[in-house]
Amino acid sequence: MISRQLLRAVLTAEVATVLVCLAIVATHALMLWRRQRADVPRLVQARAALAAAIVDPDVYLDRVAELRRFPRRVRRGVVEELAVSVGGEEGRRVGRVAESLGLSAAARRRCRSVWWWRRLLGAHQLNVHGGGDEILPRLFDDPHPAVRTQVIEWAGDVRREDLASRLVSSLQDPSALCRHTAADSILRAGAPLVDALARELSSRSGQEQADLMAVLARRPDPRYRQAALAAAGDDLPAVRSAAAAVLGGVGGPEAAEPLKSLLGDADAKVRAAAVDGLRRLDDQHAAPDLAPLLRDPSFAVRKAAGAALAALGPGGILLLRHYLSDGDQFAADMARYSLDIAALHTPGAGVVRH
Amino acid sequence: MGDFARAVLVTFEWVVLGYFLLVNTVYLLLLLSAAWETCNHLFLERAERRWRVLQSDIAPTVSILAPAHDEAPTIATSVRAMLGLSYPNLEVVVVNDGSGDETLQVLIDNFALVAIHPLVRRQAEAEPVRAVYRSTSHPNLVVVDKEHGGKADALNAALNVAGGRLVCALDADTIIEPEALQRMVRPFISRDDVVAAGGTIRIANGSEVRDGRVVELRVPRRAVAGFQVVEYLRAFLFGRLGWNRLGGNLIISGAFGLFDRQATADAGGYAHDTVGEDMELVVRLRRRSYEQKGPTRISFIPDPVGWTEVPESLRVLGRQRDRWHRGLSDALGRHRRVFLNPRYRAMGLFVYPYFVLVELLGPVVEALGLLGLAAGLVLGAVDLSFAILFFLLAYGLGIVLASFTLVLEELSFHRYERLRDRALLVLWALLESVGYRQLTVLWRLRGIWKFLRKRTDWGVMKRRGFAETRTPEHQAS
Repeated sequence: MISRQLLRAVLTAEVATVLVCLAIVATHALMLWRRQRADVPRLVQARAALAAAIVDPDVYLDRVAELRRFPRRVRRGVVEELAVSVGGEEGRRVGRVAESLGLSAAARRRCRSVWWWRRLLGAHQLNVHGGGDEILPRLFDDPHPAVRTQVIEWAGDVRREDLASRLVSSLQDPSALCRHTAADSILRAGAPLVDALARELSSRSGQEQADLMAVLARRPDPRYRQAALAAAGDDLPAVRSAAAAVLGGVGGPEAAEPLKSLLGDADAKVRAAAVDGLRRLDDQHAAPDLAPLLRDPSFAVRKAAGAALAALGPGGILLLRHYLSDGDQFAADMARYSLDIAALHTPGAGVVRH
Repeated sequence: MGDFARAVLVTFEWVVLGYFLLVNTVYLLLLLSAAWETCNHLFLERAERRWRVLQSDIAPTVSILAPAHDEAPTIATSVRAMLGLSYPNLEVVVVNDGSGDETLQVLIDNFALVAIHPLVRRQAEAEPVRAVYRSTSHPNLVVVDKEHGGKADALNAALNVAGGRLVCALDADTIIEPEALQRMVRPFISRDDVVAAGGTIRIANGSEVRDGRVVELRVPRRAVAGFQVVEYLRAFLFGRLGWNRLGGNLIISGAFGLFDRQATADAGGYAHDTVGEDMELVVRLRRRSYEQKGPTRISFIPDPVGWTEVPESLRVLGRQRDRWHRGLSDALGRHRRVFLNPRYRAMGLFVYPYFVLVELLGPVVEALGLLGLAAGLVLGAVDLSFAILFFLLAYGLGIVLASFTLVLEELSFHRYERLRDRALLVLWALLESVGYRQLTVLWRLRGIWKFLRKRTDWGVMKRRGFAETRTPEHQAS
């Protein structure tokens, strides 16, 4: 027998919980609806005021005063919205508006919070509209990876030479997200950091050097050549394959011989990188060295060799055709596949149909 | 009726009641975990600049695997939608799985396909490939023409051809949002131990779909689809999201999942002889990862959304659910060594037992509990107050959980913008536990029965089709 009190208690608890849930849903839905209705005209006015403040210094103070009258979320919304779409001088002006509106100061305060989500928000805002030159570098060592990610992103955007070393060190961060962001930021930073990155490349060794070189291979610069030539003989396969990728991208007459010597490397990834490097060098004399790699036991190496031969012009195409009747079925298959792919890009470029 | 029989009946009913309490306690844990995950996700999302991925040279390459069988009327639109996804390093691999209609010719005509030498790695078992085509107008489109072998077989063929670091299994009738892939790769970028990730599937019935995009979202007006909206929200927003923190997921929807290609190929790809190939693959991937000490994490991301059309007829829905349950039974049966095995840590000690005791056997316990209750009432073994308590715990708590799900949806993603739609959603949530839930129990019991009889048919799935889906205003005009 179940007591009526127990039944009543369970029923009351369930009904009360459902009612509270429904009240939350209804209140939140109504609040959002009202806010959206009110914000549409506000956003239009705030955007106009912000645009005027940026393009016309004469009305700056008036427009900033006008912006101050909007709710904080509207101010923050329009400033962030514009800041992500402009750069250079206009970006700096948006940053000045953010400073005048107190948004940067609030963001800096958030960066000092004990709560990671507040630090994240603060770092993100400073990352977007600026104003964090002092405080953001301190967050490179933040315990939360999402906060560090913001700082790494920022360092890539501001392109300061003094931050290059921190950016490169972030490639060894325990968090995969930070490592990914560091690689992306190094690539985005581009020309202003090349000298600093070349110095970092020469001064690091082992896995650190391999990771940095693998990133820099995507945006090669002749200033990385010396370090890559030296690394081509490294003990670590990861360093050798990254060096091959850099040498292929950098080019130059001295790159071909080290790359050819790596074609016989014991590690398949190094061989594939060397093949790809020779393709990028566009050295037609390399075709006879590449052709035997169509018989390589590694699929990646065979595929890279086929693509390289197809890219090296008539000499490579002739060799591919020769391999169509090779005794090694894998080599013949890859030759045929590479010829077909080449025909897709350059129809009638001397490719036989089968 | 003897005293002994009465005592057995009453004891059994108390056991069932205890089972419901236990299940609802686990649900509560999942709910708390899901709320925590949602908060974290929203904080991170707020500070994320996804457009950076679009411009990034180092975004992981993704190959979309799209099996197609007799889909000539819709295939060109579907492939265009896939090619139009906002992602920088994207490859689309369409597999014509022995279609009897003009699917292949439509693809050749629309995308200027040229046959190339079929260089196919035999990493996963698949029926013979007849030809491989590349598009001269879309360099990132590959079409594989092969003998018919079913969905798993077609996915394996695509896996053998795909070149991306990640592969995205996508049903041809699923619409994914343009930014969904950018969001979906996040776990692979953020962590080293992720082997697969799943996204939320939402229901597009009643919404307006134009050019392969959901342009106006509505809550379905029809009850069967409306109940499924609540079900899907509960399954994805607190079920799968909750597992992220409580030992990891065992399910990624076959309609929209992202996998590490190498890990999937090493595991042998999709199994052919099951109707639940998506779940089986996920369990196998996790199991292998534990055995070989590789990455084991199956992440669920709540906001990459794939839209699907759910059945609106009870007959078709019943077939779907019975197939799902056969798939679940099969996947759990194949990997029964995981059950309570400490070698598989949280998966073996918590996640797998939950799936067996709650997801698989839940309908059996619920049905036996209801039958026992009816018998007890008729025979006078249990009184009315017990019956009321049973219903309050079995179904009343279901309504409470559905309400919590609505709160979670409202405070986080609130995808339904109109107040009227939100009100309708509340209505479906309140009504879903009465009638509809009992029907799903019956369908799942049928699934178990068919599984025991080793039936592996899929059943015919009739859908209205996105192209015909219109809002009531459109239908009126």
